[in-house]
Amino acid sequence: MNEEQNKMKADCVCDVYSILKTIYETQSKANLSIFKGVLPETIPFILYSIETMNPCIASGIAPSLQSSFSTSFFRIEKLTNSSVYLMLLLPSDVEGNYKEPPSIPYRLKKTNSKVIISLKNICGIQCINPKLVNRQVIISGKEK
Amino acid sequence: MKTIVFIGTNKSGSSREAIKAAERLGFFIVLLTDRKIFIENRLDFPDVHQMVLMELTNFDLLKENISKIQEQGKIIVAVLSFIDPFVHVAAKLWEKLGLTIVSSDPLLKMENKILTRELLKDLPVSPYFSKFKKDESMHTFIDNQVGRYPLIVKTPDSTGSKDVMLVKNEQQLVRSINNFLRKGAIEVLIEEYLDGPQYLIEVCVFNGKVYIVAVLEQEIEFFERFIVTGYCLLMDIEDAFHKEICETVSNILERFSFKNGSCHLEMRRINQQWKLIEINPRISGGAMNRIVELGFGINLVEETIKINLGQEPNFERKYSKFVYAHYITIEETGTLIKVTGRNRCFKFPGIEEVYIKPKKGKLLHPPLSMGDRYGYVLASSTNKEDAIRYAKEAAKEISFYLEPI
Repeated sequence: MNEEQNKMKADCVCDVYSILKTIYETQSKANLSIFKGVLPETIPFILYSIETMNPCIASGIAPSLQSSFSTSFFRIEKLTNSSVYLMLLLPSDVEGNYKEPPSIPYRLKKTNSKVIISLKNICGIQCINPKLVNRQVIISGKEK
Repeated sequence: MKTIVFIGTNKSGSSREAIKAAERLGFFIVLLTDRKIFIENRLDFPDVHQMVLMELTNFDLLKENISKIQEQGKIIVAVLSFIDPFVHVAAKLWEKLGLTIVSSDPLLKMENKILTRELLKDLPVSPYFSKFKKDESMHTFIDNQVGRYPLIVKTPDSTGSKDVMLVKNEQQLVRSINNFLRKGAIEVLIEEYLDGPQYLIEVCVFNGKVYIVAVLEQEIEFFERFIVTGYCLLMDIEDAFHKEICETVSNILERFSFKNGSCHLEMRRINQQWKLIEINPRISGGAMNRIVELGFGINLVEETIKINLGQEPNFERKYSKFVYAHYITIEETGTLIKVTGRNRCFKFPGIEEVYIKPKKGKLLHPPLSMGDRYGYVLASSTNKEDAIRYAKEAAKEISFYLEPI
């Protein structure tokens, strides 16, 4: 890796770190009574791998599925100078069925599965609409 | 180039089918519309040869556009409308061209509920009614209604249950009248509430001869408004019943001096006596043209066009079947994500057509007017109960997925 690439990598990490920090702080503030219902308690995001330039995918176990699942959607749990602690968000369709990446989910659900990723391995971040977390659906008709 | 000008249309239903029928008959079709979305989705209207976006409530502007169309070399043979409140406007424009056999005056009286009531007030079909004028004393008016509840309150130009309220007492009556006045109404019509089986009668008149094309039983549900959720096309009706309907309808139409055109009447039968709920100078909207076509093989809008052109209509049935149209409404409010079950409906016998109206992203809610019915299932059979059962059972397969707001 030449000097220019090293500089780019450092810039990426710096940007991602500052965005992750903002997300983490916003989520933390959301628990204060003054911001309840104003700020989102979970801001989901996708992280991009520096190796492949594709979304990072992690696997975990969801009790509701009783099997493993893969996801590219995460919630930040903790941030250090070198790494980020993430909760895996379970993607599902409008009927509640698990949607494997890279499908676009209707809903994201919190799970107990966690991963730690080194910030050095991340080159980008894309925030996702917080409304997707525990998004509700009404079924009007027979299948109610 | 023989041209038919249509004033307004809906995206689907009878008014749209009229355009398709006119195009099939070989005419050049011009649509004057005030719906920008139609121009934006121009490819959805391959049967319309020329579409003009304009303000439809401005009569002078309409005249101006008609002249422009003529200047383009098109020979206008008819100006038609199959939607409220433009049926009489179209006839009036046509009168200006000196071509029509359809007079606009009866159409105007039919479109205005108060004019209709006043015209028919001494006929047995007329229920108790009273009109409230904006500058009248509310107190005296309310006092005059004592002992007459429940009552129906509506505006003279109400359509599709939009401005029709049921009131059970004085307080509700005052509230309803004030509500309509706030919305800009100058007059409000109060009518006796009639309880009994309701029928819809599709009628055509050619050179004074009345044709009872179709008689349908209506299933009505009361949500916040009266909503028709089912139409049953009657395959055959007893001679005596048919004669009764024919006589009643003829008497009504005679009052209007209605000699050519089509209309539909909604009537209730109470203690062997027919009572008129309302009359409209056009075929019913929604699935009505399809219902009659499936049941009898008659394309009612096509025959109506022929009448308007002075041609003899043909109401001979090609076959006879009961057809039931079950309309779908929802009880919840939310943004539409998707609809499932349409294909499953066809697993049931007798299912002819399934139609879902709203597109993804539309905000759906419980019905406040007939326009809030979000689809229908049409079933046919030579047995009335079967047609009803098939349509209702199949409709249960349809599910609307909504995101709460």
